[in-house]
Amino acid sequence: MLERLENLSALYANPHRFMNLAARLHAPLWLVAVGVLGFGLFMVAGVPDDYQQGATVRIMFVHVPAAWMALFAYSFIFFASIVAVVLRHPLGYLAARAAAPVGAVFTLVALVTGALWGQPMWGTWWVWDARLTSVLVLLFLYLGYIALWEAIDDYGRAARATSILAVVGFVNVPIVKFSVDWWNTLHQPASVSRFARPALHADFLYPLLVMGVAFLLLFLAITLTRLQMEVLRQRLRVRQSEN
Amino acid sequence: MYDFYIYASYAFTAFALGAIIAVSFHGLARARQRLAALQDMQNGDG
Repeated sequence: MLERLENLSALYANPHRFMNLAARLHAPLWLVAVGVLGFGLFMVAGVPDDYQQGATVRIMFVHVPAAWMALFAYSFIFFASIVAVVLRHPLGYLAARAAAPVGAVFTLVALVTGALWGQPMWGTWWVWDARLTSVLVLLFLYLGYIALWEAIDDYGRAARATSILAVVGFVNVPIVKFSVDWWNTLHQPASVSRFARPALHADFLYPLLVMGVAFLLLFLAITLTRLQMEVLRQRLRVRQSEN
Repeated sequence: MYDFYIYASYAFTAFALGAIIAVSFHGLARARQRLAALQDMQNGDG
């Protein structure tokens, strides 16, 4: 299994082969992502009001998937950076760089929709509790990561520095996830990950899971688009340096 | 009663995701153009 994975990794470590694969995957991935998102929004339109939260429960269907993607994107950057440093995979750095703005946008969406949900339900847009603060730190990590890429002219040095930041910053991901268990927070604890007995009724759970899959597919589609852009920019850098 | 909060959430999400999608496709198209222009220039030199 591991050997197969290494062979596959080696096969697509070649950016030219990767670009051929990406060109074939690009349009179908976008079509599936938009289709699943449309189906998810159709399901959300039929969701009943919650007995406590009323119609504001509909904010959950964008807020929670965006928060999942905020964590997933940073984990993606972490693993891509590890692969780049340890396996010297040439696409690792580019994949991490491509995913960072996408993760930052999902984090911003989670924060803004959270504030828009918090005001009617908690009576405040923002509190400095552990969950909200750690997600804000996550946004700053994304912005710092993007700024570091832009701040260093030498590609090799920038790649190494950003990888170190990605790996060190990953410590914040479990803090975000478990902050609601480790500290007393205004933010509610996990409702969906308790698969044995989820705290959500099926009327809310299934549309939420479909929206989660839609956001995941959107993340992958946008990152694939940006990764192709990064590979082409890298080719440009190399050719310009040769001249 | 809570319509503003719900519509604002969906509108901001659509705006933010729409913006990153537009910027990404624009960046990809621009990178393709610049690479093609560089190749044309190099072919012209050759």
